[in-house]
This record gives sequence, structure tokens and C-alpha cells, in this order.
Amino acid sequence: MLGEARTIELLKKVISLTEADQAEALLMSNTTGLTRFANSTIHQNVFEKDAVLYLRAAVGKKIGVASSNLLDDDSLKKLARTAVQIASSQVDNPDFEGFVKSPRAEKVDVYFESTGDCAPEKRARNVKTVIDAANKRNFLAAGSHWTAAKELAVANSAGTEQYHKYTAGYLNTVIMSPTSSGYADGSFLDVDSFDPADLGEEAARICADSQEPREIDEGKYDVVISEAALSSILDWLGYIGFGADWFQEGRSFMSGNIDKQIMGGNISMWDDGYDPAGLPLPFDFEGVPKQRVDLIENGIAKGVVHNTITAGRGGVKSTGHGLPPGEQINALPLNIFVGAGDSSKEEMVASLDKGILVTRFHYINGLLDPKRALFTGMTRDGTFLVENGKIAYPLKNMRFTHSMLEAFSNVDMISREAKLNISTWQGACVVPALRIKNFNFSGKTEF
Amino acid sequence: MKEALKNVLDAIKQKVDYADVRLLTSRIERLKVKNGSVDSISDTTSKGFGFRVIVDGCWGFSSSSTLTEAEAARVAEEAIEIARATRLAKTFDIDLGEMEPAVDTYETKIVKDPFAIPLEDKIAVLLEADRIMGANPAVKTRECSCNSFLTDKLFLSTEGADIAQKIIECGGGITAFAVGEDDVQKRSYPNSWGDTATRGFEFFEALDLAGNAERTAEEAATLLKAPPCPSGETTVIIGGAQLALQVHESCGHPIELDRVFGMEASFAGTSFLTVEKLGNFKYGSDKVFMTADATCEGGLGTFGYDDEGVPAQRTPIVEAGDFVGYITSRETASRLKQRSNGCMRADGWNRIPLIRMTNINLEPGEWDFDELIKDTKDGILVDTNKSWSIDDKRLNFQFGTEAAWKIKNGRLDGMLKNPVYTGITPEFWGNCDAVCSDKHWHIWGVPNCGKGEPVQLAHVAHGTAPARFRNVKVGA
Repeated sequence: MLGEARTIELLKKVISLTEADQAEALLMSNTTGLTRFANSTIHQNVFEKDAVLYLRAAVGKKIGVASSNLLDDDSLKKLARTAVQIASSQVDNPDFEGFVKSPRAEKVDVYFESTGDCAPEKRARNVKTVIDAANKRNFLAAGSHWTAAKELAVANSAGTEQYHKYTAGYLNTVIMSPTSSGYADGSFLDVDSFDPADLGEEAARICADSQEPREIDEGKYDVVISEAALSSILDWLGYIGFGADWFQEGRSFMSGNIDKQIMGGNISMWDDGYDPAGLPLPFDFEGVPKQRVDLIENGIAKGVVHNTITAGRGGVKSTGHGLPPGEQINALPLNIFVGAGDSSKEEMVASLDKGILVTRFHYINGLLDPKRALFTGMTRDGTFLVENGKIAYPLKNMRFTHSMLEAFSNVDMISREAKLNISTWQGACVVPALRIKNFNFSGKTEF
Repeated sequence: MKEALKNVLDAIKQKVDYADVRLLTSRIERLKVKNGSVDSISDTTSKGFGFRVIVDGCWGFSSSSTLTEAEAARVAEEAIEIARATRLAKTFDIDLGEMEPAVDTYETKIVKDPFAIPLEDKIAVLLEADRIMGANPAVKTRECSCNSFLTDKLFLSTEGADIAQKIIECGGGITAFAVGEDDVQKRSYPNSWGDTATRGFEFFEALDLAGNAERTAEEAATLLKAPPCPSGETTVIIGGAQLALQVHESCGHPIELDRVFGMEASFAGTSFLTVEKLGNFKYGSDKVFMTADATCEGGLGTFGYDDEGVPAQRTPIVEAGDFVGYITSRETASRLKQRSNGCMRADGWNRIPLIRMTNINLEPGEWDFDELIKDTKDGILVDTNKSWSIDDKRLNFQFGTEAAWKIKNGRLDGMLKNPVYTGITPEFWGNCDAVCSDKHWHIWGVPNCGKGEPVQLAHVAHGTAPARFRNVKVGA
């Protein structure tokens, strides 16, 4: 960790080295330890420490970006030269309106020493706890456990100065028998706030319950999908729908639908970079403070997220959702919340006359027809047929192909508990479990 | 820095069963033109090193971007500490097997250094392709790209390996999005993620993006008015670009021996090609021959040595439909009493090597493409990937492609939109009855193959020619 003073000093220094009309510097530092396990043994145990500096140089309306993890004086000078050379080779970007001074974002204290200083022994002990839960039942455990301390800082020649540090971590496990598997995961900011024994027990229980799965016909079923399953849908929904790029180009399911009902009246989704229930990130990669953005309110499409470029193009203000330079798209929601309901997961399962309980989805793809949010994917690690409110038997995995606009219009129960799910890149979502009517399963597999 | 790393390796030699270190510098230049203006140009440099050690039969790895001998010594000790922590959950000792350490250098053969070409020249090509696509009124969004990659890497090990490699890659592509009231259709050239090769700027020039821009735009516009692909079971001819992803997902991933051994179980999954099937399983029809070949000239999965210092090789994977080989590492090959076939690669200095595809190729058959169409009474031709999904053992897959063409009585009979096809891997390859000849064979670069946690993106490739499959379930 470089710390706030050194980081801001570094950013100001590289800005001062450029001969550009304007400049913006972004630093992302990362200290991550990761322990992976499979077949109930640790097979990968790694540590990395890195800091990457991005410099955006503006010559008139021409922008050049250079980035490097070499932070010595000579390398900074080279970086400053490269960014200006690139900008000078550019053509004008009509959507660029110049860097402006953003107000200081409100500080959010989400750095936990317990996570930042987490030693490999501690991760190994947590993993061993999960493995023990599998061993108790003669199953095998696989999974990964990472802990990270990160810094994000932005400064620009107009006077913006932002700094944020935070910790995050994650443990997931798939526990396997010869005919089944069970999954559980946990995301946290404080590594001491979660119990790996609970995760191990949950995955082992699902694995035990899903042994000797049977096949059922494809078709439409009422489903209860877990928080993990919903979070994987949200990853895609945010990408194809809630960023301004696709919206402005008419490619998003939100395009042309603002203020129209596109989901059920019980569905609300929003992005909030300050909510401590998520993974707070008080400003974006351009240094613009995060605004809370209502994406879907009671089923009505309300808005998408912007950075300064898409905001300029759309004649609005940035919502503080810019990505690092060089990404394929300009803006994404990285702190999505889905509104909770008033049911327990147990009540949702108990309410099914005949339906399917999904623990997790695998390999979702949301590019089939983005205007309809038509997704496909597989179930995995614990899929069950529910009859008369009780789990009847485990199922072989099935493929779904379904419009998510239709799915979110058919939600009739939402869990009151919502769960944090942190992405391994940036951002997180906080989501409940859902009961969805008439969910379309289009195929099946052999296990 | 090389001497410093050698010194540290010597210093820790007595404390470890094995150690290696990789020192790597990468440079990536990306240009993207969108809708008539330059959307982004970036130039990224990353440099650092990573020590991989085995202590008491356990792996440890640590890395840093601080390039001093003192930091290297600290990082090496940290890797040893991490390996010691690994002992808490250990069930067997890592065995790398025997290998002759190589002392060698390797460099990609290129004609034109892509980093020496002025940015203005690259921008001009992209703007011209963009302008041509923009002339089609149905096309609302255009994207054009040119990307160049340079990787300089050094591999040293306690066994005495000393390998320096310089890999250069270059490529690009164009995409047109036609937007209707409730519909968006996309066409890309030469593939949905462009095409990239271990070649110089001459490869980008040969793509002739501007020369293909008008057809690409026109096809996107035509798709807006095209009928949807009908549902049912039919004969499908898959074009080379889409077949590359089919090979990638249904052959390339399931033959990764670490995945077979369950090492990716919690994330990307396992494999249906379990070890008892090796040499004893019908993967496809007798028309199907596949190889893993890291020696193909120009392939994006081509190199001199992998990141364990094992030389690049060509390995049979499927022979006349029989499953005969995996892609391996030293550790996993040793468990099968084999020697590594050199497929361990890491996405940067701060990542541990994993088994990655090289150039996983469907070897060419004998058919001429036009003759294959003529020989097909009823069916569809599909090409260029739009969506991809496959289960966690790599059996049930579903692919969507950008475009399809109806085949009626041996002729192409109009475009179909939103085609999707699905199947079970060995049944699907078992229904392959024709593969086109080397005249139509091309190595398609895939620069975005994800695997591992944290996700590592590998540059891999697939040589394919169009092929025909019977009894495929299709729809829209």
C-alpha cells in the first residue's frame, strides 16, 4: 500500500511531467493473496503486489492513454511523453469536453487490517476448515479463497484529487461426490466476519442431497434461484443493459424504454457506491463521485450509468461510473442492488407445487438477443426437483434459454435476506433469492 | 535484473525442492475507432517477476513489480513461506518428472514490427473501414480495431534452464451493428473478436479491413430483414471462424489435464474426458483429426518454450475420431507417467502458469467448400460466433452465430437471423461427415481465453476449415 499522501504526490508528479493541455492520472494498486484447492488439497497458493498508473493526456480534444507499472522517475517521464505522443497522433474526440474538477468524494472507511494483513497461513486454515467438512462425508473439496487490499486514486490537472482504500475477499467451494456436487460462497470486507465452517457445511449438505441425480424433461418450470445464481445473471444484465454505451447505440433492452414497465412491479434495481452493505467505491476511475442511480424502479426502466464521455454525448452529467481507460465500454454499474422482499428462502421452496431449486448457474451468456435480454446458461452444483413444497429428488443439470425481461416480470416471491457477492475484478452486487414462474429450460446434459 | 534473479535462485536452492523465476515485460498497444472517430488509443507496459517454488512437495508463488535484487530475495522467501503454508492441506508431493533444462532463445518471425508503424497509418486504415461501413444507412454503430502485443520473457530454474523469448502478435477487425426498431444485428470481419497472429504488421495489412467493410455492413443490414432461423433438426455446415470456437469449447478445454484432474472444478468446471477414456473413447467420426500444435507458423498459440521451459510441440489429440491425447504440464503429465507436451502458460509475471491451449487444430479434410454446399440438399450454413455457453464438463453446448444462410438443393438461399445450435459434444463430433481441405484452412486467433482464478486471459488459436454435421438441433 502506497498510502494517500504518496499516491496523490505520485499522480501530481506525472501530471506535471506532461506537456499536454490537460491530464488525468489514475492509480490502481493491488495486493492480493489467493489460495486455490482441489481434490481436498491446496494446489495453488500465490501472492501478488502491483500498482498500475494510467495517464490520460489531452491535446485539445485529442486524448492519448498510456499506462505502466513502472513508477520510477525515468519511467514516469516516458509515460508522460508516450501519452502526449499518442494524443498528438489522434483525431479530435467530439465527445470529450475536457477534464473538470470533481468535488472530493465522501470518505468511506472499508479497510480492515484483518483482511489487508491476512497471512497465507490464515487462508490455508480457512481452506482446511472447508476441506474438513468435505472429508467428514468422504467427499472432495475444491475452491478458492482470496484476500485483497486495494487502493484507487485519481487526480487531474483541473484539481481533482480522490483516494480510496479498501479490503475485500471471497471464499467459494464446490464439494463433490462421485455423482454430485454442492456449492457455497462468501464475500466479505473483513476476513474475520465470516465462518468457513458454515460454507463447508452448506456445500457438503448440498452435495450429499444431490447424489444420484435424475433426469426430467425440458420445459417451463417455476424455479427458486439462489443469490449466487441471481448474481451471475446480474453480471450480464449490467453489461448489456445498464451502461450508457449500449443504451445510446440502441443495443440495450433499456433503449427506448425509459419510464416504461419492462419488469414486474416488485422488481427494483439500483447502483449505490456508498452503501456499506455492498462494496463501497465512492468515486469512479475518472475521479467523479458516485451518484446513486435507479436502474429499474418497481419494474419501470429509470436510467443507465454514465462516465464523462457518454454523459457529454447524451447531454447529461456523469453519474460516476466510468471505467479505467482502454476498456471496451465507458461506463458500468459496479455496485448493483436488487430490492429484497419479505419471504424466507425456505418459504419460497415450500410454496412450490412443482418446481426446480437452482443453487448456481454456469457459463451464462447474455448476447443471444440483448434487446430482449435473452440469456442461456446451465445449472450446476445442486439442482433439485421440488414437489408439494418439499425437495423430491436431485436433478441432472439443465440448460435454460429465457428472456430475463420475461423472467423478472414473473417473479412472485423475493427473499428478505440479500447477499453480497464480490467480483474478482471490481465491484459487487447485493441480491436476494427469487421465485420465478414459468422459467424455460431448453435442454439437459448427462450429469 | 537477470543476474540478480540468478543470484536469488542460487541462494534459495538449498531451501527448496525446485524453483523457477520468470521476468517478463509486456507492451500492448490498442487502437479503436468507433463511429467516425478514434475512440481510444492506449499503450500499456507491465514489468515484473514471479518466483514459483516447491517446498516439501508443496507449491508457493509470489511476485512483484519492484525490480531490485533485495525485492527478488524477499519475494523468493515469501514464495517459500507460502509453500510452507500450503502444507496445512496437502495430500501428495508434487512430482515434476524428469526434464532436460534448455538454454535457448526464441523470437517470433515477423516482417514488419507493428510498434514501428506510425499510429497515424493505423488510424487511417481504421477510419477508412469505418467510413465505408458508415455509408450503409442501416448501420448505426461501427467498431474497428488494431492491436499489437510484445512479450519479452526470461525463464530461469534451479534445474539450470535459461530461456529468453520475444513474442510479437498483431491483429485487428471490424464490426457493424445494424439497428432496427426492436432488433440489433451484428456482422464482424474476419471474426467476432477480429483475428490475431504471431506475425508482424503484415498480418494486419493482409486482413484488408477496408476491402471487406462494405460487405460486412451490407450483411448486417440484410440480417435486419432476414427471417429467423427455423427450429428443428437439420444438417449444419459450420464456417471456419465459428468452428474455431466450437473446437475451443468442446475440445480445447476438456483436454486440459489440470481440468481433468479437478483443479478447475470450483470455477470453470471439470471434463468429460476423464483419464480412463484416453485411447479408449470415440470422440468423433473418422473424419475428425485434431492436434495441439504450438509449432504452427503464425498461430496465436505459437511459441518456443512454455512457461515451465518445455519446448513447443505438436501432439495428436483426436485421430480418426479416437481420443488419444491431452495438453499437459510437468506435474500433470508426471501423474500419467508421461512427459509434458509444453502447454503451461501464465498471463503475466504476476500469475502462475496453468495448462493453456496452444493451437488446437481440426486438421483439414478433402472437401472443396463449393462442392460441400452442392452436396448438401437441405440445411444451413452458420458462421461467426455471437454467443457461447457449455456445461461444466463440456458436454452440452449452445452457440449462437451472427449469421446463417439457408441451403436448399445444393445452393445458398438467403440469410437467416439469430441462429442458435446445440448438442452434446461426442454426439455432435460423431455426426461430422465432411471437413473442407487445406485450401480453406485458417488458424483463427482467440486472444481472450479465460481460465483460472484470478482469471487469466490466454492467447490461443484454432486451425479450422468449414465442416458439415448431420442431425443438429437448431433454432432462433
